[in-house]
Amino acid sequence: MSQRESVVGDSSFYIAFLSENEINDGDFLVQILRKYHFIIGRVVYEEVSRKNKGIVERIRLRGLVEFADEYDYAALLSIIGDKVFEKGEYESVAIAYTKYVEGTLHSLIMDDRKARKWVERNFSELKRFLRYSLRFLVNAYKVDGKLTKEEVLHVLRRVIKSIENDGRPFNLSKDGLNLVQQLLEEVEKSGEN
Amino acid sequence: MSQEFGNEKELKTIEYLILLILGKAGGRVSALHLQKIFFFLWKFHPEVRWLVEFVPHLKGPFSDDLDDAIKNPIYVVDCWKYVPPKSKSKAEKAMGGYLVMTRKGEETYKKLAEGLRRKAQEDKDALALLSAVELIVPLYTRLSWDELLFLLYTDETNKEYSIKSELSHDVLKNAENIVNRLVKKGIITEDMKPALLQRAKRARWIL
Repeated sequence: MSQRESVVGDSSFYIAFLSENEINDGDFLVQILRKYHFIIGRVVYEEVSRKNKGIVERIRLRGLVEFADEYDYAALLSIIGDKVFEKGEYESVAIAYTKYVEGTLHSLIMDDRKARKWVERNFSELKRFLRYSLRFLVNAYKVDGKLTKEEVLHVLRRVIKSIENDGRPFNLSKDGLNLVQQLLEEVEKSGEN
Repeated sequence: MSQEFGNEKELKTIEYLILLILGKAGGRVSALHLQKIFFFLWKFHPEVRWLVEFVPHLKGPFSDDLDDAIKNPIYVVDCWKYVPPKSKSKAEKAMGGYLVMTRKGEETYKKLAEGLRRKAQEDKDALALLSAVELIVPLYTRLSWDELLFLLYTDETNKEYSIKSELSHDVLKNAENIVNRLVKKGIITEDMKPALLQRAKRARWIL
């Protein structure tokens, strides 16, 4: 692979599209996964499957991504992770680092503030690849031209609706509502693709 | 392949991997850090898993074969010098001596790293190993002996290798001090501190 198209995301990215009280649009996730080269580790896959087994099987998630289970990426940084169930983020960092060394990393999607701060501090070389889920989606339209304006607006509206109904898509709470509104305006004001 | 030839190849790989870690660490690394970094690579990479065996030991996960290779390399000779602990202080004893890279080691390391980088362009096993070394060696060699052991011992995913440790009481006793140092060094962020302290309280398996 010669282009920078490898995308590594933590579980919150996948879960938001699959959860009934969040975006609840598995088909949209399928569409995004087909437009980039997503890599998912064992720990993140298990986290996503545990909460959304039925839909993960229906959309055949494993067939849509590179399933990185040849190496135990979670083992490399596991001693830093807070708890066992939060090790997905550290697994994602290790996978992203491999793709960075390979020269194919496009984005490392992370929504957890603590984990992001930790990455920025300890692996400054990854900083320019770090994206919040929503910024990744907006850039998929504005920068990469992989999604249409309407598609991104559809996701942003669903995110707002979910937060208003006490959902937490991409780890966002009601405090993050303004931020999503701003992104919505940013996309609405941008030119058509 | 004969057994003898197989063992020779494995031993060479172990010794070159030691040199790779040592070089990435800047030419000086304690035996303790080397054992633990090797342990993480061993867990991570199936090819490394074939090379050595790790068992629960007095300082956590430990490999006898690796210890031999550190102190008496057979194939990658004169590339590092093993310096035994100078004093009987707790820290010196815990670190188990140092490996210091020689001039020949520096040259061999450069060639080794260049070769591995070239190989990594076509070989995913080489890419995975190179990336893992570049990811964890600079991070973990910034840790002092008790910071490294604290993180290792209190991590639930490594608990089976930490149960026999003789240093766990010392390390846990200083949990707060260690966590503060980790924050100060930037190894963990301030908001990770409570979770790390909680982890120390939960780590009953090492007591």
